[in-house]
Amino acid sequence: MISAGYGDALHRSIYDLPHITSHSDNHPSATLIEQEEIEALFTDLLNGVPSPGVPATSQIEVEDSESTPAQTTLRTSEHAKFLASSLFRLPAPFVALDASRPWLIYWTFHSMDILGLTSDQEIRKRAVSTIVHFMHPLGGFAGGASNTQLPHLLPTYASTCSLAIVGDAGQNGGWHQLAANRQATYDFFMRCKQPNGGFVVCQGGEVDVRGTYCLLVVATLLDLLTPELLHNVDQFIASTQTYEGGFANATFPLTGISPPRSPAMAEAHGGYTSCSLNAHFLLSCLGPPEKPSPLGSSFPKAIDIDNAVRWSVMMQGEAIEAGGFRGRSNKLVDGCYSWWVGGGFPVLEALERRRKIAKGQSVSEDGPRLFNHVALQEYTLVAAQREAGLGGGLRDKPGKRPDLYHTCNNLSGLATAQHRMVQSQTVLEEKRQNFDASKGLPAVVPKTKSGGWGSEEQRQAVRREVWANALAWVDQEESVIGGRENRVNATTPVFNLTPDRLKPFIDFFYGQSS
Amino acid sequence: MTAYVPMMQRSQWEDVEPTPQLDGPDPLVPIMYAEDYRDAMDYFRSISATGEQSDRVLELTEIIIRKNPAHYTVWGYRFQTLLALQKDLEAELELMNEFARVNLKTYQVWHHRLLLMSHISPKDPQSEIDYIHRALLPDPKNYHTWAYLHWLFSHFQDRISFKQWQDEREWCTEALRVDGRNNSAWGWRWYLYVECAPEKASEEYWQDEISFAVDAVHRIPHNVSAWNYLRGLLLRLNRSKSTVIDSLNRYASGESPVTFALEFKAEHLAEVGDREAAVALYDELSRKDPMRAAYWMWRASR
Repeated sequence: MISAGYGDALHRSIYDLPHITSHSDNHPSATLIEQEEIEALFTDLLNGVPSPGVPATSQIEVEDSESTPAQTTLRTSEHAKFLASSLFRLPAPFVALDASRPWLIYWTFHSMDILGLTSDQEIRKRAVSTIVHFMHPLGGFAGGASNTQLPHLLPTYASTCSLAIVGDAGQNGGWHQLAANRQATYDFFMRCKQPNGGFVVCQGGEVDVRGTYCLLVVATLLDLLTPELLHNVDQFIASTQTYEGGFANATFPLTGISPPRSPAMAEAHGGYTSCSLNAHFLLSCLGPPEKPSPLGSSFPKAIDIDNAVRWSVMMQGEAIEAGGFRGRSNKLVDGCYSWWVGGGFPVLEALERRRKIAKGQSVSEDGPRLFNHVALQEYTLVAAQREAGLGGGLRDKPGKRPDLYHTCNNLSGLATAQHRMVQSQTVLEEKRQNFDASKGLPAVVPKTKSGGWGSEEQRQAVRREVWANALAWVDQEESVIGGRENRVNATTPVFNLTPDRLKPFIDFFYGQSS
Repeated sequence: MTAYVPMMQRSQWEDVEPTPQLDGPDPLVPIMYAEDYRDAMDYFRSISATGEQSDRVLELTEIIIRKNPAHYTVWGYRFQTLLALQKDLEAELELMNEFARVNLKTYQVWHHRLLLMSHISPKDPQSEIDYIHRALLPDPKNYHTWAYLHWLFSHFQDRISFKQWQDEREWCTEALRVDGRNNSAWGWRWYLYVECAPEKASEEYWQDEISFAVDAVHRIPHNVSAWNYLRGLLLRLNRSKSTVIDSLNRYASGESPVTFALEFKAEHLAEVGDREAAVALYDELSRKDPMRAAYWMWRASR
């Protein structure tokens, strides 16, 4: 086999790694059969689709001297067309997403940001106007027009992040409207709150960590964090970690058992792991790691970071699966987990660094990447892109149709693979120094007398830390597989917004200008 | 197919003025709604604005959720209406059985079912347990279904008899016999055997559970689910790997050793203080499991 011509000893190309099929152990079962079918599909694919690199040792005699060796590239212009195609008109079957319209906007514009595509001012104004019509007088955002649907935590995340991308601080830019709805949004969040630290996703809705993640990102961005909002949230999140190390959807208290406990409500899953890890991280960022949290020295309740790293690493598929991520043990790889699982690594590394700082140990911002970022880029380029010339978009795996969700998650995973995002201690310290506590929007009014921060001083200390932590992510190292045309922009861990979008947005809500 | 009769031509809806969706001028991601869906939604807006709870609301909401089973607002309104009218929730559960067949991956369908069960609050949830077991047959890893099963046992923990717990454990064991790689079933086993272990479970109880996991490894040595369960169990019980290592070491040798066995052996060596041998194994892992080479070297460095 010709060497792919890129990668290193610890992160080898799927074109260089041995392609070993799953061991049957002479024990067929439904799981094995599905896995074998997929491995056969990927084998065909890898035999037919060239690697993203120009093979370094390629000495193929080419009759036509003008043709270059075949090479798989990121088909940005095709994806641009795919993204544009759904902005102005969605056919009737999209009615199934009628309560997820903010997501359609977020997936589209965040994908464009990652791909470095610009949209004209007119489109951005229309996007802001559309999202503002989803904003609910009861707080938060609905999944569609607010004269139709109730607020829901998931579209509240998607709408807020969409406004970070397409909006601005101008009169009709959406940010002032969002700021004016802060207290209502806080009240909505408090209505969602459950005694065990979970949140219903909407009035009468289900409780799971998707809601917690979406709420915490928005509360972080809009400066809405209070002790009463966060009470028990850390316990809920920690209880969703399973024996495998990944996280499940939710937890439920068992009171009839002694001692009472609160087990996870299913197996570890990539999507929920992303939500729980990011939520835990945001809860960790209320204070500096070397000091007790403003919510007490045992806050947030610890999670098993080592086991979470192990589980995440184990989710990466073999070379015969093109190096993509699966979302659960013994399930098939799927491009959406490139972000759900792949996007967790910078967060895990940052948590590990915080743990070391708390123990007084020295920390390094270098070090090898724990997952194979070379293989993940290859999965995105070779397996997740729709075949050239068919309309663009990215997908779960070959044979599946592309959609906006998979396009956004694949690209967010690709960005994570290409850019090593690190929370820089230097930048963090610089931000802490530059924080101006005299600036900002009014503090939200808590629901209970004792629900707010103990003092204005404490509130300001938390604001400073939360704001500084959000902006301390830096692009430490870039490693793009294939030509420069494959390069995409970085995305900020936890939030999944590009740094250029995150900064002005969070600065606006914290009144900061540095 | 009969032609669609617009709502305004139906005598039942004469008294209601439809309310259009307020999307503002030139909205993005507009959906080209089918006429019947748009029509139904225009009337839903009107009746939800007045807070009407009636039989026709139930008809209307059913029309909508059949078109869009993810419409959480409509589901919520429907549930409140069912309660207000004191409707037969068992009949609604029947309707959900039909929905679940085609919408196995829709959060709202499962949550509506959960709300119904909470309110029906049967003295004995056996028929619901049976229903879930059947629902898993065509889709044995459906996350929603498994999460619902966890909820069912958790919510009704006090009503589930000792025999029912035993039966469930047997059902789960059978599910793992059918497909020992079904990680969802392993997660369920963890709940039944570890999370809901009897108070003051005997040493024998835990030995049996460890043996079950070890036997599962013997049956399918490359099965990540079995290894993760065993590893997790020993970690939870805070037990050494020493008691089981002898029978598992065989998978860590030869030309193509099992990754998890090498890791298990390395962890055991580290546990007993042979750091050097453990590092050598992580080094071997970085070669035998090259996709994760960086991770294994990282483990070696710690």
